[in-house]
Amino acid sequence: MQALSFEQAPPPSVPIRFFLTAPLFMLLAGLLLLIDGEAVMASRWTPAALALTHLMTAGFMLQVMLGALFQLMPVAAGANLWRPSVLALPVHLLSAIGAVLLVAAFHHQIAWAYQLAVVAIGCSVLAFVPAGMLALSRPPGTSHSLIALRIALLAFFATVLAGATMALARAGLIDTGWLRFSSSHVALGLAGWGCVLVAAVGYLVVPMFQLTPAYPRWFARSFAPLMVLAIGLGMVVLHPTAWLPLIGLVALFASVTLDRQQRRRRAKLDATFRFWRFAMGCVLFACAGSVLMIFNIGGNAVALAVGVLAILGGFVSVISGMLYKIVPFILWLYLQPRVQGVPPMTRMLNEQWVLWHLRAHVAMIGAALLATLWWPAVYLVGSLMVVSAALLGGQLLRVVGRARAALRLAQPS
Amino acid sequence: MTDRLPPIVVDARRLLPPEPMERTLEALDEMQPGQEVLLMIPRQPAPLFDMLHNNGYAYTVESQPDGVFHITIRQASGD
Repeated sequence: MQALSFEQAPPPSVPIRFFLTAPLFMLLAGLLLLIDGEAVMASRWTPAALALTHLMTAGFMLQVMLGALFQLMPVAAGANLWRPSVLALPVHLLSAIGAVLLVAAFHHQIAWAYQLAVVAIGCSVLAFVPAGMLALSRPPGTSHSLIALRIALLAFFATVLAGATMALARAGLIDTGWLRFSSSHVALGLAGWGCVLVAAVGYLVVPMFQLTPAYPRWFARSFAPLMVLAIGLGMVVLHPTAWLPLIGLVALFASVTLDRQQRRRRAKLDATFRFWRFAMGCVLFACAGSVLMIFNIGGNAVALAVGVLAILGGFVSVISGMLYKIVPFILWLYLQPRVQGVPPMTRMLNEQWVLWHLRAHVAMIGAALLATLWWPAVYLVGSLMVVSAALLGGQLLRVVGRARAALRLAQPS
Repeated sequence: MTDRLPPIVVDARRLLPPEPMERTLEALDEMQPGQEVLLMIPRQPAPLFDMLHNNGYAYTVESQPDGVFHITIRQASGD
């Protein structure tokens, strides 16, 4: 199994600033559902639905993904970013402010907010992506994670480029014909950037934190490059069926991950394991729903259900499960050489509250699927999302608080 | 012929991070002069290697056919 080198890790404040911001976006998404739920469920193209989607993708997911890259590029791939503590500040602020502006722009159709969002997110990307690509170009190795990280980062750039073009079209600055990029934007963002990054991270953290065998070599070697080809095919061939190979590859990733989990060496299942298993199940259903969409079966309900299953069921589940492992672990590793008698990592989290989050999360997805058929259920979704955000944020703050207290005790001022 | 104490065995094959490191550090605290700690773990624990290196321990790594690594740790000065 590939080794990780934590001596290269940035200070914990670098990734954790992103991780602590993410639940705030989930909280806002829950509140939006409570305020404007009917419009969200009317169609995925309503201003409210686009605002909600981007609260979760450009807000919640992007914050965690950027934080994870700051941590994992040096640790997993030996790719050291230039001054991560200095770089993290503008990347974090600009991406978070940009996401809020983008959501406001979608929700209220404000031209200047679209433009400012493009500037803020664009500057964040222009600060991070070249620095990331430079760091990823240095390590001589050709590890599967390294290759997948390079592909994910390029797909991130392309996602934002396509998104910025459409935002400027919505702002009235360029022709609305550019809005035809929406399918490519979704495929690049969710599959090229999101799923490939989850795979790059998963190759390392699934065997390590879930005690499974490593991903098969044939799969880890070919998955990310094949995803590039499949996205390219869908973008070039202007027929919906051209997306089928991409859907098949995503389903293959979920199946291989479930197979790894089946072969785990440990009988006891923790919350992270359950979050990931639930995520992979949701991804398989999202893939099936996507096929129905391609053949125009099921109408608006199926389109909304695919969004629910992919974004909330897939990405938010994977991210929640990973945060519960990685945040205590990063802090424990930081404290270990600095503090005598570091508190055991397992005691940093309250496992019962984490399990309550899992239950609230699963109930939220169930309610969201119901809401695609009967919209008033959206208020239950909003309430459960607020609860989930509070539980996730609360547990992360608890871990950070415990680490700070341990440091204070060790270094009395 | 000197009587050597048997190694303290830390079986971390079914433990989640960072429990292997926590248990190994406990074992290193209990280790008597000349004694060794044998850690059995299904991956190469890079954070532990960093810690051992920084704290004056020597270690050897043996890869087993079943994918488990046997890491034998001793005081570097005892070599």
